Amino acid sequence: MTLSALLSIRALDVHYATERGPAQVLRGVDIDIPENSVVGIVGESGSGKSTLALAIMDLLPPNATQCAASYSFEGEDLVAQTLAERRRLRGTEMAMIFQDPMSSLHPLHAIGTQMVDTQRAKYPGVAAGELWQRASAMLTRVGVPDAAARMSRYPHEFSGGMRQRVMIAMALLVQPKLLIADEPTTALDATIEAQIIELLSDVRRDIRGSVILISHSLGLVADLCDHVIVMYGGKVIEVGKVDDVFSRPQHPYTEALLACEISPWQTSDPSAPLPRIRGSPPDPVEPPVGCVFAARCPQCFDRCSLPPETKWLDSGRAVACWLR
Amino acid sequence: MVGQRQSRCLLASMNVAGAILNVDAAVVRYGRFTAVDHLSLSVNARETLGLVGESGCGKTSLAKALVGLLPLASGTIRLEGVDMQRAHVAERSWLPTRIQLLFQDPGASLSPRLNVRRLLEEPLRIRHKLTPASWQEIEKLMAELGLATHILERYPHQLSGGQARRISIVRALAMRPRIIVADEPTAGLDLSVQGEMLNLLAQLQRELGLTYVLVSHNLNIIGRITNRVAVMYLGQIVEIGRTRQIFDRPAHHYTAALLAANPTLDPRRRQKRIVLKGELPSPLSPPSGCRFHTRCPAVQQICHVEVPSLRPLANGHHVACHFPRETA
Amino acid sequence: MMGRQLLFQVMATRAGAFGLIVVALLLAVAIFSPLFASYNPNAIAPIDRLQGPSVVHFFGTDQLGRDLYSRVVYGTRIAVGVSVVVMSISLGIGMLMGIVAAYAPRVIDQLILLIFDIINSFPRLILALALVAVLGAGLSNVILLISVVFIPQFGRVARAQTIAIRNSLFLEAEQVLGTQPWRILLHHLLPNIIGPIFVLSSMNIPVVITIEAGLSFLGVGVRPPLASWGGLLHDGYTYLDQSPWLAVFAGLALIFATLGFTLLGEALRDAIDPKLRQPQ
Repeated sequence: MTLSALLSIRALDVHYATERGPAQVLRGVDIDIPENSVVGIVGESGSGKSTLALAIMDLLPPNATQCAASYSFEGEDLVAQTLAERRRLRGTEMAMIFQDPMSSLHPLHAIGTQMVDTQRAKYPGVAAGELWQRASAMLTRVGVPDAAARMSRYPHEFSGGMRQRVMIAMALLVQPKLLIADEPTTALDATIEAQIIELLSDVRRDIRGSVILISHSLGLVADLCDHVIVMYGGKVIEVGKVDDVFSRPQHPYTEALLACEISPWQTSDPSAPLPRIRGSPPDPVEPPVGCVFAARCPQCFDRCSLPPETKWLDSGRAVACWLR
Repeated sequence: MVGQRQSRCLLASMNVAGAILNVDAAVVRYGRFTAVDHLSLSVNARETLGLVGESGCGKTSLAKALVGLLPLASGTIRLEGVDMQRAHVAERSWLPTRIQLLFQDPGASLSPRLNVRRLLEEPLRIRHKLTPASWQEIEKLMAELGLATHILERYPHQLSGGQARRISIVRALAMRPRIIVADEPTAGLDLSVQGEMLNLLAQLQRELGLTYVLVSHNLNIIGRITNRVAVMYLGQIVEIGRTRQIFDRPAHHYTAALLAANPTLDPRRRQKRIVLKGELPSPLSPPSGCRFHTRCPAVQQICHVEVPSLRPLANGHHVACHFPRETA
Repeated sequence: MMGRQLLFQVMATRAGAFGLIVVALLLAVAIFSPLFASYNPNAIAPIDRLQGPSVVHFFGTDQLGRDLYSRVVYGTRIAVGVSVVVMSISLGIGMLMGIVAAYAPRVIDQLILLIFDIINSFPRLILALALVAVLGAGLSNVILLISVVFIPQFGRVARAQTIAIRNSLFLEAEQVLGTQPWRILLHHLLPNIIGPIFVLSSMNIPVVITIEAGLSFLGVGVRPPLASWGGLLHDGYTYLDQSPWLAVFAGLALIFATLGFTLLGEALRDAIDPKLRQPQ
């Protein structure tokens, strides 16, 4: 647990109102995002990773209720603030890019107009002309050819990869302290994904803050991130440096998940059945009382009927499991 | 036409006796847009052939043409020696008992107003064999695939993705095909359950002697479970051969880039990313000469002009490139 | 079964339940008119003409002494009978043309749409009147020509619905499975387009009832002595100063029937939409 955490949240709960009752999508989540680092959040369906991102950005839909014991950003306590004060941070200190850039861009406004608009919250006094210039320069920086001309084009005239570059440019323009990328390359073709990954590694240096990368792809996180947070069933179950966690997983779920990653260069017996995890993720409307992974854990024992406490190992490493 | 010449060369060297499916210079068009351009390949009995490629490469159109959903503008597809083009029109009842397709979105492939029971009875009705005995077979298949009998009364919108997938597998198998074309069989599945689906498909292949054509963009899966793989780009095959061979030493520059782009966990295997410049060209107006020349790191003058034909390297490994990579 | 589910959905709302009860009642009255009627609707008794409601004559009598209640009851037969038959014919022909248009080459599609447009360009009642002028009045003519009026509506909806799903994945899946074309049409296409058409027909029934009543009111509908509500209204209008009851009860019957069918139609439309499912 670092002292100079950029973002620190304790005991975050998020539940959605549904027909069947409240769905506990996040339960007692604690996270720390260190400064100047790229943190990956991995998890499968139902892990709550996307909800976590939306909760940080205060972008949850109206049927969601969010509460946290503490939520501090750059040392400032946000829980005590009003909604309006918290939202001040959006688009100025915190930025987000989404999986589907088409739905994040206004189809009826030119790209340039949108890029100028996003800067206004951060730079209210600056003239539109200068904002336009900055946007154009940033477009070039992110690898959009012929940027000056492209500024007057509309989103539908861009390919998927180009739109994602536009999104990244828009996020970088406000020079955020925190950039959240939710599955930024999932919708892209492989060779375009490679381009965007390279772009992200490249501009990382430009960001004087931290990046949160949410992904279901372990390989992507291994490639781009310093730290990783592993989530399951609405809880954080393991945290640490990415190479550490992926080579020496402490939680049975992490271990099992890593085993499921299929390597195309498998040299072992190709006819052996592929590993998988039996069962299915817990129902958020009826979350389990004890350890969230107990029902599917091969090493579950009697103590697992109680929710495990987070055990801190060496610096930065944590796991929520009774086995440790 | 260069394309035709290319495919004849391939055919001569590739038409293995024992091939259950033979595609010869197939062309699939949508109006003026050519999705599959003089493509030839053969699939051997009981093997798993992978089809990889990005958007616009034509793999989905090819998959549809293989099962008779799309007509060919020219060329032939021969299934067990019989020309499918004629089968498509007159002998409609024969084709579905030989080759079936598993759709990428299984939920959407089930008729929304029929319940599971009716959906599973349907293949039996088509074969005019709705009897208690044949229904028992269906129930056995259901059990084998882990489907409980209480879902028989459910409707497609009440099924989970995994259940819908298994039901479409049962329906396909009920037609007793010899070949199954699987379009992204693990799309939408979490990592922890992908293995289960693939194990299931492997088991079915062993038990029923099936041949698979696996269309996927997931290179991990392709690398692990296919015997041979064909890499497609803008309607053509750029490389085809044994999976092991291609993954270890890709001969085509596009294949190399695709493989290098695949994020991998093992830090030792993390190759230097080959980042291709430029966008995927629009399939509506493909580049001249070698279609990949606009993005190829090894492009030369001739690549702009002349279309490379699929040339054999060794062991059934073919590549369409004027300057293929070293594969020795 | 889908039927039971549908029933439940409809009954779940007050409006739907009311509509269903009204329609059920109307159907019962139409089918079992002899059981409901207290007198022969055509029994003339000039002595008793234009009486008000009484224990003997629930609704009173008309200008020829016929029991008004019984005439309204038998009028139900005409109203419901005509509308059901008309809807069936329009629906059948319209759907057929619509499906053909959706799958046919452009030329035929355009031709069919042209036919629809021509029929549609006339206001319905005027068209009906014009056709009556050509073909003459009478029950069977009335049925036929009102059917013509509604064909384009069904045709367009069927065509739009078919176009919306003709490229659906599940239809492709059926093709790959080897399902015969007739089976695809009957079991896969029709059930998925029939919803809005079905609702359209139940919402059009009140319109048919009104048109038929209108024609009969104008004297060019069903011929007397057949008791049509429209005819009763006509009589009521003529003898309004002597007895308002003719107009009142005929009018009430029309309102009641129209309301009931409309509410049922709307409830059916909501019931068919899986997203508007009421919790069970």
